[in-house]
Amino acid sequence: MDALSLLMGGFADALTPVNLLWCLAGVVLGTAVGVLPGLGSSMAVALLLPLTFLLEPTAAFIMFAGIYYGGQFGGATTSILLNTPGQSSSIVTAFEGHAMALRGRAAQALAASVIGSFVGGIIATTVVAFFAQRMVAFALGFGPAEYFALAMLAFVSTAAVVTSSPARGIAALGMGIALSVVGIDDQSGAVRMTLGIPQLLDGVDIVVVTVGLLAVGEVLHSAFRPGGDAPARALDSGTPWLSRADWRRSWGPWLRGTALGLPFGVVPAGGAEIPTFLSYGAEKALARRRGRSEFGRGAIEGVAGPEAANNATTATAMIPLLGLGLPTSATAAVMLAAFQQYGMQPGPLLFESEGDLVWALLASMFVGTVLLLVINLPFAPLWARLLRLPRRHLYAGLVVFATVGVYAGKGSVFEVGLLYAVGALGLLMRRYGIPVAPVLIGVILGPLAEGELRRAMAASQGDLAILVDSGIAVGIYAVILAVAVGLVAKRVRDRRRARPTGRAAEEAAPSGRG
Amino acid sequence: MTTAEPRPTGAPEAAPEAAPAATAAPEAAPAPARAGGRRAALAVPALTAAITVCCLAGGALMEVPAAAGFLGPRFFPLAVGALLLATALASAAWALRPGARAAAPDAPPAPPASEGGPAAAPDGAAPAHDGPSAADATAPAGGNAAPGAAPVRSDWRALGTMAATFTAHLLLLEPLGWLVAGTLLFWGTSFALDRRRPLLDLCVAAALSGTVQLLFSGLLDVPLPAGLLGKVL
Repeated sequence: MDALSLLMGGFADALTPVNLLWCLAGVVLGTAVGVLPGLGSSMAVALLLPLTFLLEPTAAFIMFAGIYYGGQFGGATTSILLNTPGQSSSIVTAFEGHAMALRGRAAQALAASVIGSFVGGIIATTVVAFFAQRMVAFALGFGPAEYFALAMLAFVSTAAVVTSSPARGIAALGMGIALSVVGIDDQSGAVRMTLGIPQLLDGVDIVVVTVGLLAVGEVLHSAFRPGGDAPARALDSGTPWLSRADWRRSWGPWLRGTALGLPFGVVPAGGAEIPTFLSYGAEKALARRRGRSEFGRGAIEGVAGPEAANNATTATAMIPLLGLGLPTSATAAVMLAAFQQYGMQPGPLLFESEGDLVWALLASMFVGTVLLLVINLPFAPLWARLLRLPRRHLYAGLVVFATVGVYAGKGSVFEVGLLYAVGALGLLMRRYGIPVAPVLIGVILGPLAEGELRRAMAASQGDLAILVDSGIAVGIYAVILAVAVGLVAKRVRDRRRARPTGRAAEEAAPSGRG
Repeated sequence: MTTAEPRPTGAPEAAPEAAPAATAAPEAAPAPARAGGRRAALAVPALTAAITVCCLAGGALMEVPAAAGFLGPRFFPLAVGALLLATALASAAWALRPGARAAAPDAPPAPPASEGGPAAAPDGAAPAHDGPSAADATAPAGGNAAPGAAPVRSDWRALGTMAATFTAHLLLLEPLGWLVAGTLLFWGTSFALDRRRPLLDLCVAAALSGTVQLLFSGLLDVPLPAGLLGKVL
């Protein structure tokens, strides 16, 4: 009940007209960016990260919550109308959603996905509001050893699980950690890896890394992509609505999808794509058992379930983010960066030191979900019109906003140059299939891992045993081990399964497609 | 690739090492799947090695203050460097192993997600912005449909134009002001992607750049370089 009264306090903060306006702006911006092909919610949050220099924290985070949800939904819209998922978590939605659109049921597909997002979002946010504090109570006992173990867990899972090729994952992670080391060392004051450039003494700004890798890298890479500038032809959507039969078919998938999505936000397993695939598989299997499966020709269950799972995962990712300071997806990593911009370190102490802000953020997640429903249900056709924007203008606009955002932060051209340099790195990474998410995790959690390790070692005078001294730390290492073993087992199984067909398995591992 | 110069991690080695692999790519157009897969396989160890050099050199050359504490500021970069070195060696060995060449021509044309069903898909579908799924899916498809090297060549021109635009923007931002430099930035980027309607692009560029200037200077109270505009007013 304590959480309830605190949450009500949060609503009081979030529901002021000004903050409501920021949330609205966030949802609109997030949807707009999410609708644009190739841009997902992590990009939306990243592009608006420089705004943190301008807004006060509460307003900024309320806006971020809106962007977060808006971006997720926008991705679904393009999947359905255009068959181009804006982000990996809406790939599944494209399977059945686009098939529905081709059969003239785009409106129903959109409605099923909006309402599914709403259901998943509301349920998951409720879970977050009540469980984040539990997590905090648990995390208050954490010392340097436990935090180091947590960082290792995040490293291993992003480098290995998220990517299909561990070498690429580790390379990306190392890149991120190397970037995070640049600048003056907190503990000793040593100047590290600045190449004698005074502007680098403060380190490489996380905003620059995020925006450079996600936005500028994407634009540079777009120059490589084949295909002309003709805007893709989107199908007509019509105003979303559902018939009674559609409701009857959708409510089950919504709830099942939500239930599947909830746990995945909490574990660092790479965000929302896995639960969306699981939900899709479950609905498909259920439909087959019922006998008259529409899967493959546009089954509404195949849109409703994954979208609910997607949003549920998105929301529960807030539990480890707020409670432990552990980002479980690229978007959550960017949110963590936003906290750091304000000099706050998410984790157990955040609830005490910035309690009002946290509860306002949680409340605005509810508000954002509701606004999403209100804005997107009637205006989906309008969003679809954004798809007519020529690709070259879209990408040029991205560069302009990335540039001006980074410049506005510090008023320095050097930062803009750094932005472009990181963008070039992002281009190379995209070209050779190196994932971007581990870099972000490395930049953000690298200093945490290093600081905690050195603190632990200083306390024990070099005795490594301190790292496995507590039950929690041992438990976390056990999880890491389980992740690694599971991964090896899966790879062996995949190879065995692929051998009869005589292809793919050998190539799969080095090329990162496996 | 002029923009690669102020590389923050401090490796002048990084650009040259990665660049040959990159520039060599278009020649491989007749057999994009095979050569691309192989080259990409070697590019990853090369890039990893570049970062390794940064970490190890940065760690080794660091001036450590006397009171540096137990592990000191050197330990972490060196440890990460060692890990990366091992990764680079392992992945290079994997890419150059005898079986690699035989396996490469058999490269799957696209992630098996579409046929393989949902169970196989999460792996093929790489996480958000992780690139390979998009890149790998489009590259072989494009290569098979049109074996000619034409699209690849124009791609390099587009990238060059974009790099030149970015460099020009960096150089001109403070002397000429946001209005001019921002217009140039937008125009250059869209021109790089499609050069059919430069005049329309210029109008859009000027309008957007003006809007941004008004928005930041007027509403958000963040001064953008005024440049020429400041001298006129």
